[in-house]
Amino acid sequence: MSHVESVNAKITDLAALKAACKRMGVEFVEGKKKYNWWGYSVGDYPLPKGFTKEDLGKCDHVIRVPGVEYEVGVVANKTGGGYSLLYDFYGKGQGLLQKFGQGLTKLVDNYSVEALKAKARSQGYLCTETTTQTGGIKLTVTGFGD
Amino acid sequence: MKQVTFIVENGNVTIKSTGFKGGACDAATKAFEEVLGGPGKKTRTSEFYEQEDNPKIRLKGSS
Repeated sequence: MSHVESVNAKITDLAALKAACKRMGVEFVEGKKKYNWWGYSVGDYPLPKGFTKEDLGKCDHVIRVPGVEYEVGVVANKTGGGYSLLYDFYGKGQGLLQKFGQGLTKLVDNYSVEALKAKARSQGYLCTETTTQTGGIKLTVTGFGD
Repeated sequence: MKQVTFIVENGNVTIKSTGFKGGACDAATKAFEEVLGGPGKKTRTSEFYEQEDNPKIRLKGSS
């Protein structure tokens, strides 16, 4: 059995994605063209939107979690720009969910944080990061001129 | 004090701008919205509807 799910995260900044991987303690393997997964689709789950069976397993970069055999593929979108994250969440892919959460939301959250912080710095603003009571991340940006 | 806060949780980003008058909040958050992939649903506060302290346009006949 195998499944591949695409997270429609609006990831456009690879530098922010790399920074997110670093803060989460996972490896961004730049230029690796194949990600580890079951190996073939058995057709028991819908293909990720915009992808064919032939696309599965191929990518532009890989995100690797220490101790987890399956990997996340970072795939440049064919249209619309940005990247999609493809991964097999079945069996050995459970380790990816444990690390990144269902739908890879924790990875996406960390990406968003790093992208926002980078933008704040580039605009010359001051940015501080704290944690909310519910485990979220709060960024406070100041320096807009009062 | 003008500030923008972002709450990032469960795949969602909530953006809150405070201390801005009029449409200045939109200008302040635009660059950040683009980073995230585009603007989301906005809920305006009363500050948005306040005029800036030094309006650049004066209408004839206005007091």
